[in-house]
Amino acid sequence: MSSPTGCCAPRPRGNDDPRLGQHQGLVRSLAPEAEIITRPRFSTLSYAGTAKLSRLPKRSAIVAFSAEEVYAIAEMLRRFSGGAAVVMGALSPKTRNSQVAMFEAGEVDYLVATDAIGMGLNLDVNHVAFASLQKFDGRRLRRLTISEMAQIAGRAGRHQQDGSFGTVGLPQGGFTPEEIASIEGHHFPPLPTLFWRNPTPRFDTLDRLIADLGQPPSQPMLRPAPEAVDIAVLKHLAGDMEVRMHAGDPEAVERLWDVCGLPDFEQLGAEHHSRTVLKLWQWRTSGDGMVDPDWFARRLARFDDIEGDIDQLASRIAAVRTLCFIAQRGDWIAGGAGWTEQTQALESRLSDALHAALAQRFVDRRLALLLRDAGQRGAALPVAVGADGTVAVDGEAIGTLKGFQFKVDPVAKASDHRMLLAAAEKHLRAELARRATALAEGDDSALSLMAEPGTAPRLAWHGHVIAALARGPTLVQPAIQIDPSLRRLEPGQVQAIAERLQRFVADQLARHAAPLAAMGEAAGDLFTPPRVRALLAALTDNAGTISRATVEEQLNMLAQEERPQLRKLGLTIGSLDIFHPLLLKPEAVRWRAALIAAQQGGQVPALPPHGAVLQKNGSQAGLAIAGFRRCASGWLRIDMAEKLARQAHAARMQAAAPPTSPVAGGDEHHHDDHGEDEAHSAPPPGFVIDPALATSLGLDEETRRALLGSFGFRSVGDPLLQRWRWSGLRKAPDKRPRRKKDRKGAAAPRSASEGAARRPPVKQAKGKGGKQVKLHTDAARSPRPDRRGPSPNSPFAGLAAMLADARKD
Amino acid sequence: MTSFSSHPVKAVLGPTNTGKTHLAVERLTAHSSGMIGFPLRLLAREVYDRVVAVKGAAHVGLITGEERIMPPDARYLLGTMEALPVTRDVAFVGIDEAQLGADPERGHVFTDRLLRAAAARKR
Repeated sequence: MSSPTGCCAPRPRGNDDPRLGQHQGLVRSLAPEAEIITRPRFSTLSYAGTAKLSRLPKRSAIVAFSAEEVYAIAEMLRRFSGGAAVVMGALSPKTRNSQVAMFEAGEVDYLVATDAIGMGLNLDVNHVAFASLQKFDGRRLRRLTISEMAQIAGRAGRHQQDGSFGTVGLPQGGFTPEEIASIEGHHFPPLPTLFWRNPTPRFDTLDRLIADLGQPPSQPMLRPAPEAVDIAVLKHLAGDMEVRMHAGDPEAVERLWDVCGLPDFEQLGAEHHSRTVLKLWQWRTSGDGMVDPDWFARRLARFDDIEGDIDQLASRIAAVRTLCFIAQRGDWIAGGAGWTEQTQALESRLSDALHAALAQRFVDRRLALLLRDAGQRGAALPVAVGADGTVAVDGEAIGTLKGFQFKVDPVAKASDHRMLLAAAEKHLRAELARRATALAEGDDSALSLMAEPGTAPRLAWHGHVIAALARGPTLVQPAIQIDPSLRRLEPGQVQAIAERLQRFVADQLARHAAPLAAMGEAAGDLFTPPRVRALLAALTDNAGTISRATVEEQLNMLAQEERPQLRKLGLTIGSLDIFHPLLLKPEAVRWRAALIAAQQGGQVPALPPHGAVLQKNGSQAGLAIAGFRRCASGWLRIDMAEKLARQAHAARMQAAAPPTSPVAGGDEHHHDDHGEDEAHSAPPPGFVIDPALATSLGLDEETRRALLGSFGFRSVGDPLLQRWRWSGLRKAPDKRPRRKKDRKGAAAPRSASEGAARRPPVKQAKGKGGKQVKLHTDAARSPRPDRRGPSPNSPFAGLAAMLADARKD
Repeated sequence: MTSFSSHPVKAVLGPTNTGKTHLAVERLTAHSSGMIGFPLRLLAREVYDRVVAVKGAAHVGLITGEERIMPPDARYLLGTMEALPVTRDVAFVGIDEAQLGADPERGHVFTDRLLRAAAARKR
């Protein structure tokens, strides 16, 4: 606690002011007539106790007394808080200023310093924390004196702003109560004496010089100064016989003492340092009395290297300072001004490099920025989001924003992640809100369905996932699950986005899968006849295509007037499959695959390539969705299969038309057995089906045969002749009693009368059991002699009937 | 501000951050010539810059071990204690951080300059 009397008003000659105790006595005795003016401190300085390094308040200076300690502390601060400026006596003024400027500008919140911080102009420091209370003073490791502590602690606070001091941890037991009281109250033990050394030694001889320098002071307040480096060097050289020989005259002695004044910037110690001094003296006492410029230039060139670590740069700077000192001395080296310029330029370059090296090692600029901002609530740093999603805080990249997902820069250290995320969350709120609005109000072009094989179906915005599709009330109404990355948005924004996505999905389905929706709608419509609804429900559940075999029964049960409802929906009722051609288009397939995956909570299967009609292999599920059916060893798209079926039936019709009797029922087996005999027609049996179409689709012979077989055609006679005969669909489920000719919903137009004429016989078959599979068509057709007509399942059945009627007429 | 009228030697005493250096600069620039010695080259440089701002670069010199800026018309010198000339006749001499007279390595220089300044004023 500060003593209020110690620091309030100025006092004129405060003889009793304890603050003055330190100097006043000395001043009085050395300059009795001196006027003593006291300067009050306008702010208080108080002890703040001990704190962990990570808990130190911002704008603190941490004081240590060795480079190792300073580095270690600065490194720790870099991790905790983004970094620290470093101030050490070894730094050149330029480096020190750069470091201090970094601190003063607020780029870092901490300053780590040796006691070099104790002197100098005011710093913006609020707290001084001692990491150590002892230092090596050149002779021994000792505890700081109270006035040294006070000098350093006094850096805290400025003008009228109070400061505090304390320790980091409890070095050397921490401050004693007496020390605290003295520092707070500015009560210092008096300085008993000042050091003195004879300032005007005589140069008659080397020994006279050394003796004079060792002369004791005459005044009681003065004390002989301990041996400084210059005297140590002098004494060391004086022990050298050669030096003694050459130091014969007063001028040589004076010059020796003069060069001993070369400071030991490099902290080499007297012995090592004396080598340079000796060299200087030799030049100064021979020839033109000047330093060898070649030596100087060589030294300069040797240190002209700005690469290296902190210690290398610092020691190079120290070496260059030696050169600076020499160049400075106009009487030591010729052309001093030019050398000075060069040495100073080099020192400046090295200082810049050292500053950069310090900053690089001790400042994590990104973390510092984030923390600095965290401390200034409301004063948001400029956050820029680049076109590629790079998020930069005040120019420093911290990560990337993809859609609504912020990813921390991968080079960031693990310990920084939480911090970066927190900062990003804060900074990016505005950007996220802007994106949310853009998404909710933008058009469909930014939105897309992501249906990559092996993934769940998702929705993307500008290519970034924002939602997943999940099981909804119906296949065509998938649920939209907003991606977790959007959770930072306001609930209202999320709602708006969800609605927007629902609209998008509805629009896309209307565009690409309208028939599916129409089917679904019709299936759910109470006005749709139940049998149609049942069929449509099955179709819809299968995403719009279904193998005819699986629904043959329902199909057969449809009443005559119910069929057009299917046709109205645009369905093709093919020989093998029921489907809607539009649903086989690539985008429709993608959406249907996504809808199915969403409904099943599964993944989108691999889909065959766009435009493919024949596939050798692939994901069975994907092929099925894309409308492919198994066909021998490969897969053929069902609309193409249908095309081939029609072609085959057309060929059959053509063959049947003029010479033989018209429409033949499909009495499969029996007629196979003896049909040929009955035919009595042209020698080669059967008819030809042009293979060109199949070939153009890429079907090989085996597949084509298998396919034709599945349509109900059988090869007859010599295989080389490629003759075919219609044998009907063996595997067709039972009960196809009526309207066989109607099987092809989208088939060639038939006359209503013809359809009506065929109806009555069908009825008889209705309700018969499965055993009639082979017979049911016979039942319908038995009156007809010729069995070569089109299958009753074929669209050409009607046409054949028509032709037959025409012939009869 | 405190009056400087009567005594040739003034000891300005006070804790850190009490504007002693600031006062010294103020006094220096109020004289026709003068110099202030500092314990660090850095401090000399800082004050040099301040005095230049007041008096102009042509009238201010900087003398440290490694750096020397000496315009012909320099009337105000700032520098490290060791580097400043001891014989120069000026109207004002300041010693910053005079307590460094108690520094084992460099104290004797500060003590010497202090004594010289006092002796010069007596003459």
